[in-house]
Amino acid sequence: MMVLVLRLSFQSKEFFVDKKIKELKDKVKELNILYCEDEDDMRLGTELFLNKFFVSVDSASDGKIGFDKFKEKKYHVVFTDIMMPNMDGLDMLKSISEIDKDIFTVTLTASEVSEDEIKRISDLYFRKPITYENMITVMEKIVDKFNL
Amino acid sequence: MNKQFDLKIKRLNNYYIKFFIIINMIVFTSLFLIILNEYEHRNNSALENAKNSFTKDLMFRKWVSSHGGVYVFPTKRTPPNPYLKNIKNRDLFTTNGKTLTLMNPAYTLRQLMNEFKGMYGAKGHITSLNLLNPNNKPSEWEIKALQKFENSNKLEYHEFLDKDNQEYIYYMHALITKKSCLKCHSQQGYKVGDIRGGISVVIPMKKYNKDFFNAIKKIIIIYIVFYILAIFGIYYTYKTLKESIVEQKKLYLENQKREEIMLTQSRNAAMGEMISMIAHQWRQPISVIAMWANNIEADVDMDELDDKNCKEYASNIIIQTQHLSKTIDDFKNFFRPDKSKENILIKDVMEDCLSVVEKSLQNNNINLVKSYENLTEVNIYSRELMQVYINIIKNAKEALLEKSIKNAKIVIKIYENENSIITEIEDNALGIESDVIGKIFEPYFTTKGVKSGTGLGLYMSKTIINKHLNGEIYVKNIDDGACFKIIIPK
Repeated sequence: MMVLVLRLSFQSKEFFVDKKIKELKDKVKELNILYCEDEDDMRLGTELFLNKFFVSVDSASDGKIGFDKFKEKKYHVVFTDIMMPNMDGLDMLKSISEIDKDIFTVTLTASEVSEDEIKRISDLYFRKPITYENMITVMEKIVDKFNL
Repeated sequence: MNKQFDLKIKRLNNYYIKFFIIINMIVFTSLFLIILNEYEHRNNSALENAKNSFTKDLMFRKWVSSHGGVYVFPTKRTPPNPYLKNIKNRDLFTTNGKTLTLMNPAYTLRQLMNEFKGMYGAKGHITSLNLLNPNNKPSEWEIKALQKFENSNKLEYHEFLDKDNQEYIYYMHALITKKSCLKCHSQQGYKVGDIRGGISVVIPMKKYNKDFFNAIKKIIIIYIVFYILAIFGIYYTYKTLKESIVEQKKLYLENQKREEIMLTQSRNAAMGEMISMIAHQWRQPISVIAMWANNIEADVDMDELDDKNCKEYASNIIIQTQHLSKTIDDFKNFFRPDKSKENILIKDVMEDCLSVVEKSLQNNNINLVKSYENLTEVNIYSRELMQVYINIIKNAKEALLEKSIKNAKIVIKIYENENSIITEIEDNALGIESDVIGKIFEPYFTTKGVKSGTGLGLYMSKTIINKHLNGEIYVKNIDDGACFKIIIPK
């Protein structure tokens, strides 16, 4: 009997999380996402993950390509790495925020360089590796930001 | 190297032993020669004196002989010479009735010799093998000497002999018959030019020995003084030289110990650096693994889990673990201590080095430009060279980051000339300040602050290049940065 109760409560928690994730997905899926990352493996995995939440995810392999894409389309959220060839994430974010002050920026980086500046310029900042909870937090903040 | 000092001391010992032996040989040989010379001097002085005594006797005898003898009043001391009884006018009578008797040369001389001892107790004796006066009969030694005169052309003979524990010089000179002699000796059948006797002189050596021993005593005292001085001098210089070698050895050992400590410190620093590089190398695959795991979680939460996708995620994770594993191999290889020298291309050493540091450069957005023209293998301890490369590249990286250089780059060139293989590592971090550039190879010199720099990296690099690889390392500022040049002989 006890076991059953415990098991039920456990399942119900699972169910709750499940439900929350799905709700989050429904809320954010219409947003346009730009994702910049120069490492192919990382970009592949993250893009796939973002696609589970968002319908429209564009990715770029460096800051310059990312910024070019940004100029052509309206994006709500930018996910970016910092250390990238041609134009690094920091410069890209600066350029982007000059054009669109409402854009929500998330920095995912392994770099330890200019951490303070990154924190100042981006809405959310996570050090790689990124946990599942980190990503959920990102989604929740997006919901808050855009009042979805 | 340590043995070199022991060898030096051994050589010094050998040298000083030889030197000591030679000095002793010189001292004792010269002392012996001087003593010998003094001994000869003693003998010569004695002989000279004997000759003088003889000459004096001879002169006196000549004087008497030149007068054909002298007449004296006969007394008990000077009775008429019985051996002259055949001579006419042996005895003369004065007008007042006194008697005068003739003293022939031998008679006068004998009396002189008997009654007056010469200088130094020289005692003369006139004698012959063919005697007129049996009182003048020769001694055993005189017979020997007279026989020598008869059997050879010699006119002199001398010997040093002991008698009653006293040393004497025995000297004898032959007397040659002259015309004036025949007045008395014609009856014996002498002819002019015959050796018919001799005068012997005996002088005790006591005085000469005393002089001789005094002279030797003085010489020996002087020798002892100078010998002691010389020995002290030798010992002092030996001690000084030996101490200086021991001091050198001590300094060398201290230096070696300090170098060992520095080597350990720099190795520890290198290890710390390595760990930070491992962190860089691992960050990316770990991040990718995490993201694939996130995908699985998301699929589960969204009830979209499907076998095919799940398998793909897992295989992606496995690919990343292969990266991680390879990184470990790279670092293990890097930490492998150099057991022996190996024939290796310098560019391969650089590639091994870059496999470790490249990621850290990429993560910091530093562009790496490489150009290799290296075909000749060299025989070196490759890990040590790699440590040098890591140090320089790490410094370049830190300078580029510290100065927030845009378009940061590190240019690596490896090329060969006739005798050597040259590695150039350039950065564009604006160069090294002119007041610092002269000191960067000094131990414990750092610009990075106590926290991050040990001040040993470049010092150890120089030590390794100079001492272990027999090469050279230079630094110079170029247009927009610094350039390190490492020359390894082929």
